[in-house]
Amino acid sequence: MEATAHKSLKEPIIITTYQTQCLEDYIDNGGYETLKNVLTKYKPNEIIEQIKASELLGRGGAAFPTGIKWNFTAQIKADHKFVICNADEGEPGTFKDRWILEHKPHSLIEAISICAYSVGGDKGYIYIRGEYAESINRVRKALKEAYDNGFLGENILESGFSFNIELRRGDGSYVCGEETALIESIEGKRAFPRFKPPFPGIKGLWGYPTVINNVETLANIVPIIKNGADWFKNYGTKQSSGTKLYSVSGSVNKSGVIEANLGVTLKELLDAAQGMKNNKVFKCALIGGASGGFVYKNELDLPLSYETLKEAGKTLGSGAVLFLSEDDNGESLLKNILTFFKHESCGKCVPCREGYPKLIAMYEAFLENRIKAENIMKLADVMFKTSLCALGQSAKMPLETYFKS
Amino acid sequence: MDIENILKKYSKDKSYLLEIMHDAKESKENRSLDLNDLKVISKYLNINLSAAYGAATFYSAFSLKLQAKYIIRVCSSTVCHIKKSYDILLFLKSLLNCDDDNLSKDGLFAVSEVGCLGLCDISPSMMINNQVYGNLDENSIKRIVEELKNGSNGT
Ligand SMILES: Cc1cc2nc3c(=O)[nH]c(=O)nc-3n(C[C@H](O)[C@H](O)[C@H](O)COP(=O)(O)O)c2cc1C
Ligand code: SF4
Ligand code: FES
Repeated sequence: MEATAHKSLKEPIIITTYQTQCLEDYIDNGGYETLKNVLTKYKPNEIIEQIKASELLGRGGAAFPTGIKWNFTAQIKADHKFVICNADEGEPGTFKDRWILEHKPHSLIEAISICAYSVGGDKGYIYIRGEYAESINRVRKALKEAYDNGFLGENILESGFSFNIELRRGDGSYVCGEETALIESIEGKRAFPRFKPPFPGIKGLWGYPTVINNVETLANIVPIIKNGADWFKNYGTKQSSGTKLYSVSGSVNKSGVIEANLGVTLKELLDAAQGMKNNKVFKCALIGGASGGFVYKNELDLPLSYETLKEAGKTLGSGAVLFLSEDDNGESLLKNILTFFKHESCGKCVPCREGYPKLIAMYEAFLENRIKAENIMKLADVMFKTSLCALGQSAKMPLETYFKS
Repeated sequence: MDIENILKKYSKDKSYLLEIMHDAKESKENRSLDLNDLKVISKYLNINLSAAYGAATFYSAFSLKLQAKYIIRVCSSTVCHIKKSYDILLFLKSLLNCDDDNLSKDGLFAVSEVGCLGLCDISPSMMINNQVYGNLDENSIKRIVEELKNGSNGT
């Protein structure tokens, strides 16, 4: 897979020049030093303060502040606490977590261990979608290396801290990436999202407090602890600190993962992808995956950060950027998106289960000029307000931004 | 490996349900689970058969219906849709003479349409069992299918 750092980044945070699949490489490049420092020199709450100060936002789509999330769980007294790495990456157009899983598995193990130390966790899980066969192989190998060399298990690095991580495989379910559905799945059940609250941080796996973070979120932890929160905040914008791995695809010359400052513009990403394929004209981009929104020509200079997209009524989501040319059919893409959600709806709640088939029928009627866009938006709005999880809320953004073109 | 031997690898922890089902599926020539597998697994984990059945039918990776030696998963999500994955799917189905259940005439292949495989950088893409394929066109598909057919002669 092509993975590059944008030229405006002096020093990338995640897509560093060395690749660290195997333990020796990782250690040669300073791997597990941070864990050692954390376990021997820092108190748990000092780590949480650092993560809070970095203002790192969750990279799984919802952009919740990671330090605050960890703090919730740290505050609770419980017999067990868990840490889960969400590697179910299923948002259409997103493939950045796959790069991290395949190239830096040890950085995840180190980050999960640091999280567990900070919140008082005694067991970790890496939940990977079964389709990511290569990621599974590499993470499995990394876990074995870590156990064999005393970075996991009893009395890690002779610090008195003991911690275990296990791998779990999902497969063939998009909703499984939703945090409570994923927890149900680890418990051996169908991936039906739970009603929130309580949030997983308070009551998660087997009812115990559980921190669940995206792969990319965790990949930022070691660099932050190593270099400090201020260093991290040199990257990105005021309200979106750090870099982002943008999954760039579609009708461009060079698809791939691009790490850039949060706030990079669409135009800059298009240039980094070496422009539109066959010199076609840029029409629009779908940002944030199937549950994201369309961005048009007049917005090429819009900085791609959490706050700027929100202000524009859109979302950065997972950071997927699908470029469409004048020849690509947006009309049928929108139907593809609705069909995807219909298929992936778990069926637990009515607005989503019944809403998507109806939305598709209405969209077809709209294409035949039999109804107006506003009729569709009314239903999408009801689904947005009443669905149990974000999957049922997801139609609104692509529809709304498409109709506003 | 038969199911009894797979179970020996795992403790009686419910959270191994999907892991065990994955291993059981991988171990079978036709890559599908049957009711007997689910009975043995649920007894071992001390869960209701209905729970195992519920999970086996929820995740599209598992199937109680007859599958095949090669399960072809063609991505039909956003990026691949733009890159004409539907044509790829139709071509494959006709190349393999698929029936209404999407099984190939020779019984070697089962074709399905799936959500994004995270291979959008090499779209249009598909997986055959655990192997990934990208930048597909009719020629590459013909070649891939041919290779698998030839490779499977001896087994
Ligand atoms: C339908 C649906 C699918 C999701 N899929 C994923 C996913 O594949 N990976 C992920 O990290 N988060 C996914 N999420 C978001 C998670 O629920 C959760 O917000 C995230 O794992 C939290 O981690 P973060 O705070 O580090 O971002 C999904 C949410 C929904 C509603
Ligand atoms: S919104 Fe859809 S996916 Fe989410 S719980 Fe309801 S039916 Fe299931
Ligand atoms: S959309 Fe087909 S692999 Fe991602």
